[in-house]
Amino acid sequence: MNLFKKPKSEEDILIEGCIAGKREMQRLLYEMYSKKMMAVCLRYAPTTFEAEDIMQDAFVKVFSHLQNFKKDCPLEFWIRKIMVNTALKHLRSKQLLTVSHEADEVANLPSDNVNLSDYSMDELLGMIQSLAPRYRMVFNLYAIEGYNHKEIGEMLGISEGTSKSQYSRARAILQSMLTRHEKNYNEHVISS
Amino acid sequence: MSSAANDKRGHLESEFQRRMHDAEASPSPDLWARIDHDLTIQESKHYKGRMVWYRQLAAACFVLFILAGALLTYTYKTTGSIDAGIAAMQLNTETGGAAAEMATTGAAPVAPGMAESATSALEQSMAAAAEVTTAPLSDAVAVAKATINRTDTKQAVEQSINTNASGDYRRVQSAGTAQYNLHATTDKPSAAIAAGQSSYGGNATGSETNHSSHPAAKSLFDIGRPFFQTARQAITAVPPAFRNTADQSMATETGRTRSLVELSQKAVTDYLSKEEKTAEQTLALNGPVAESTGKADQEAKKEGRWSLGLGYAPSYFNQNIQMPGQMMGTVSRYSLLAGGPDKSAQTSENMNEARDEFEANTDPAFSYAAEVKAGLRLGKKIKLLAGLGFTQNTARTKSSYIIKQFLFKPGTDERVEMPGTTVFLPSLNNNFTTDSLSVSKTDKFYVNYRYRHITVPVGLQYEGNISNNWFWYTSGGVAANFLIETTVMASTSEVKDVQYDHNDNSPFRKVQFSGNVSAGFGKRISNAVSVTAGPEFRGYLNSLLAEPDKALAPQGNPYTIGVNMSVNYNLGQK
Repeated sequence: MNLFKKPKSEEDILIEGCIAGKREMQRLLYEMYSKKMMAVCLRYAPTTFEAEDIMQDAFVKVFSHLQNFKKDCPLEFWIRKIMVNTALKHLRSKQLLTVSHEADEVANLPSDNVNLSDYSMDELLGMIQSLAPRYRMVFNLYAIEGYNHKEIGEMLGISEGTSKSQYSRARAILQSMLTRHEKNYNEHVISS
Repeated sequence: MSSAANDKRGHLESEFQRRMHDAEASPSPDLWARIDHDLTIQESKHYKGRMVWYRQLAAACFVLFILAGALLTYTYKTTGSIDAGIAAMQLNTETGGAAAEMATTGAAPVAPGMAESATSALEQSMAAAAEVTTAPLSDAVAVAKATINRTDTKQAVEQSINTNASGDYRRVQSAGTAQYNLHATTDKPSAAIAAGQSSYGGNATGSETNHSSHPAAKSLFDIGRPFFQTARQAITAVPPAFRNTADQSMATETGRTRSLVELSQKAVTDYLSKEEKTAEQTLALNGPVAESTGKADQEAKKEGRWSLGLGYAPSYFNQNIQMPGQMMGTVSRYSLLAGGPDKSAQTSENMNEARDEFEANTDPAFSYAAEVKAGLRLGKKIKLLAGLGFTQNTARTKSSYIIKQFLFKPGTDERVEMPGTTVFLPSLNNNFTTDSLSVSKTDKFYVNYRYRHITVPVGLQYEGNISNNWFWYTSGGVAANFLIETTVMASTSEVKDVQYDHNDNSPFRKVQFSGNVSAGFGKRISNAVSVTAGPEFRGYLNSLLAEPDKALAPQGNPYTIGVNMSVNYNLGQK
């Protein structure tokens, strides 16, 4: 029925090629999104090696389930979601999502008035990676991915209240790190 | 990914999101090689899995084929072997025995001692002939069966001609015809023997007496005249020691034969068709026998219990989805009432018009069902049908409104446009899940809704005869319909096509039950092949949506109205 035939976009052609198992198309898709997705994985994994493991599994899933992509959202959103879910699964399998008792240092919460422009990407990433796995998860999902606490609770198998309390602890730890970092920096400047 | 409720974000969150959300990091160069390796392994596994599945499917098909073949072979072989057994038995016990005896002992040796007994047997033959006229259906069947024996008998008789120098050709040739009467009187074997004995003496008076005493008897005697001669020959050939018990033994044999004949109606049908000319002659000469032969025909038509049918039913499909009275209220994005996405007053107006347009311009479109069915005849007129089918139901809307939805990237004011859609898909949810939307008017375009199912139908069909070749039927049944694909296609590139496969998470019901009724007329092209056609109504017992309560749009049960046409092949008939 010609009435319903429409010209295909480049993304459609790329997706169809990937579904058909054309390796060059899959490589193209990988190269399009690998850098962004690596950054996502790094935020969830404690090390670069684990981040690459997560990304490897996630991309295999992407290519295996691409025929289920309904194009009801941008492809990047869909791939990112697979990355996040794979990271959660990975950490869950390693039992890293248990709550630790490390948040004793958040007694004196600094002000919310922070500016991250002075921090490099590696420094920020290092701060996030230094959080306990559960706090890191909740912080990533809430602050960066934009999920709400109800959704996070469902994803991690915890209550909404637990998600909120863990997030506030993670936030406090990060603020504390930022303050300490700023203080050290100031002392370093003064002494020099 | 974003959430409207996620609104308590501080400066820290915003700063982290700004720096981290679109951050990039280079993976190690060999990561693609690892992914490539994994994909190769996965494809190999998938290929192997598919091969195993195909092999299992092939094995299952083979086993099914063998079982079906064995069942059919058993069903028809059993009947066939009974027929063959009957034919052989008749040759051996009746014709063969008598004819062989005739052949070896001489065709027409007239024994002087038999003349006295023939006079007394004449009286018995009178009564026997009268009884023969009321012979039941099995007699008529036996008439036809007798023709098989005729050939062998003729051979035997021809031998007897050769061996008997004084043999009368006319008398010997009629030995074959004699078998008609031998079988025709199977219901009254002793009478038949008696009739044979009565004519043994070659007494013309006896024959005339029979002619005048009863019309039916006359007809029998006309045919039976040669029989008497042959029977006489047969009786002559029987050793004296055996002759005393001849009545009893003949009665026993014919009684057995009769019961077997009733079981082997198929063979009788074949013989009847081969000897149609002879049967017609018999029918012309004998009314009651003709009537019973007609009955035999009908009996034969009932033979095939199993049938195969191919059906095709073009139809029109009504998906029975209404539009809600109101799709949503206008709520500002910044309002505390988070009741829906952000939209303008113009969009609200267009939304209402789009809704009205959907109501007015959604029409049934061409749909069809194709089915393969096996039928099992449960009674004279009732058939049980079951099979496998495919349906494609289609509806169409002529529309001119496109809904565009937008998402805001978390923590930013950057707007991401979602693929365009129509009023149909959002009405299947309980709300829009996007941050804002606009409804714009464009040129007219079509939206096609297509639902494909694999169906497993079961039903009953009742048939009644109108004439010899025409019949009427009515049928009803239920079917389980397994959704394999749902597609919403638009004829404009601004609206994204949506397709759900059977394993996708779609809002549509995966398994749907339906009921169907049909009635119409059929014609028998031959004994084995018939065609039927008639209107059919197919109503689905559930709505198209799996959770109609959660949809904005009221959901009714869909239905189709069409014409069912089928070709049926009756197994076991020629």
